[in-house]
Amino acid sequence: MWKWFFLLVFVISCEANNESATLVSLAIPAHFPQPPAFPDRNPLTEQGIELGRMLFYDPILSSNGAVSCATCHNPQIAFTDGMPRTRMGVSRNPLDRHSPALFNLAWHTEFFWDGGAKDLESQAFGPLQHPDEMAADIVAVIEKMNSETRYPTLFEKAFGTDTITSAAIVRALAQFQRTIISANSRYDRYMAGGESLSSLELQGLELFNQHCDSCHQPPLFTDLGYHNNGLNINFSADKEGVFQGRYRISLDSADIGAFKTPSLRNVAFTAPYMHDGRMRSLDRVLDFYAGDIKWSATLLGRIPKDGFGFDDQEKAALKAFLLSLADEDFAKNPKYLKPSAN
Amino acid sequence: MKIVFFLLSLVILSSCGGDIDTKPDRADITLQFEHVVGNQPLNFTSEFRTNSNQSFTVEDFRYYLSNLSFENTQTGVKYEIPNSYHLIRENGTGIASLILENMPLADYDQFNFSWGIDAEKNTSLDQTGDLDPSNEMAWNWNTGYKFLLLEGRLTPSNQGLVYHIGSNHNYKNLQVAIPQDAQIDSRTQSTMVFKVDILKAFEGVSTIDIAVNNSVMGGPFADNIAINIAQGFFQLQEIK
Repeated sequence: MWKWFFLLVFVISCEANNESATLVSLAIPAHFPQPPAFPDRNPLTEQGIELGRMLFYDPILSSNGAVSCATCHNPQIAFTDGMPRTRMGVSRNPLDRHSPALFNLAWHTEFFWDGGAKDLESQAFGPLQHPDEMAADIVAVIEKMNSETRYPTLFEKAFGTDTITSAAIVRALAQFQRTIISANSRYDRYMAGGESLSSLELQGLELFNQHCDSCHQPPLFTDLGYHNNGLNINFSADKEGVFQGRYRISLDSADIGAFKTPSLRNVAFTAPYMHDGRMRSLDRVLDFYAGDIKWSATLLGRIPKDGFGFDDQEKAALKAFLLSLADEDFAKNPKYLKPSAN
Repeated sequence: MKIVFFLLSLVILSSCGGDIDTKPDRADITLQFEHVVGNQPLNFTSEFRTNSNQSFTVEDFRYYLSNLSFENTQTGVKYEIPNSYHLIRENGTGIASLILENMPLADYDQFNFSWGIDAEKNTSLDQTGDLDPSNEMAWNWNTGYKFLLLEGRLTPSNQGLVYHIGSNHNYKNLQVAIPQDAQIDSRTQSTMVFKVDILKAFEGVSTIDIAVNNSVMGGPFADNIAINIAQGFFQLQEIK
């Protein structure tokens, strides 16, 4: 009985301690909507964000000590990896899907190409524990972290207790990732009235508004929805439905082959494209939408089965517009880079 | 502070209770799970048979029980164990136990428990204790928990048997009656013995051919197994 008594007092005092972590609110770009509420259990704090950033870049989270989140989410290229299906995980086996870019995640409520993860906290366990990604034995990882004195101290600062838990690890990672925002491309400055776009880019914008913006809705340039955009004819049920997209989560047959709409922000940095990275260049993507759509029962109705029929000039205009969505500041923002202490 | 005060009063209450020669106020109640395959105790070495004579071995078996409570259905008196999420894990001996320490006693006539994790807790993985994903019972690609994991091999083919079962709609509230003569309110230690028969996952409402459906990791087919489990899987044998 007394053991429990002391334990509870300890927990209570820990929570009081945690009040020393400094609450911060996210700076929302003026032309962005308010993001949905973050989970109450994981408010943004200065110390939590900083710990999350350190963890993001630390290969200590992987079983072989060689793979960090940043291995496949490189900040120089909008936190993606430049490969179709990465082989950079612990096993060196290729993954079945392309590493997604990471920015403006605070506006997302579901994660992965099929939206299977219901918040950023839960999402992190996917790559952490997948044998072909970081393959972490969480108990062993925490043991390693406990042997580095800086970590218990940093967890204490962020969460009010130096007891490292898997929950605290993923909460810190989620906090850091929620702060990664990209909203300052030439397009954004044009919309705000401070910059001009070329006539080719403006023609591309007009075409974009006619054909693309219902899925790639500004200002996030995604509708956060799931669609079959005509990449495949057949959708194998192998590997726990990984090729069936949203269907494996919703079990709604209308979602077979539907994958989450990626943002078009920073596409200048995020090649290759599509959920499996099958298209090496924007030219290939535009050729595909122009006339290489594959019909299947769940093809998104807004996509003509013969394609949009863009001619070469229109493709050049769309490409020019898409490149105007590059946010150079974002790629260099020191707040997102590896902390010097690592 | 209120909590501390409450706890202090509990300490006083329980220490008083021991001195008075009447029924105890509190007791440790052990839930003992006898894992069996038909009429054989489960272990990780023997070969077992389904009722349709398919043979297999078991290498891993675990499941979640949650939201345990004791109730008197006549008076409405009910004790709900707080934060009640319990991973029951077979260790090769055929018996797993869960000790519920210091339960407040009353004239209970029913024990309530659920198979699986309720929808509220089943929507995030940043949790500790038995729900910590380091227990390897989380669905990492589809946030939530496996309510039951059974792995082994078909013999003699050595083909893998993999059953990862459980989604929100499979969550099942279950009740067992506590007979009057069990007298759990008059002892400081009681044991409720449950029989958990793996074969009941493969029969009952739907008969599962384990040679055909040897690998079920979520998806629509998992419902057939979940419905069987919700029916006859957990059987109270005795209270002692």
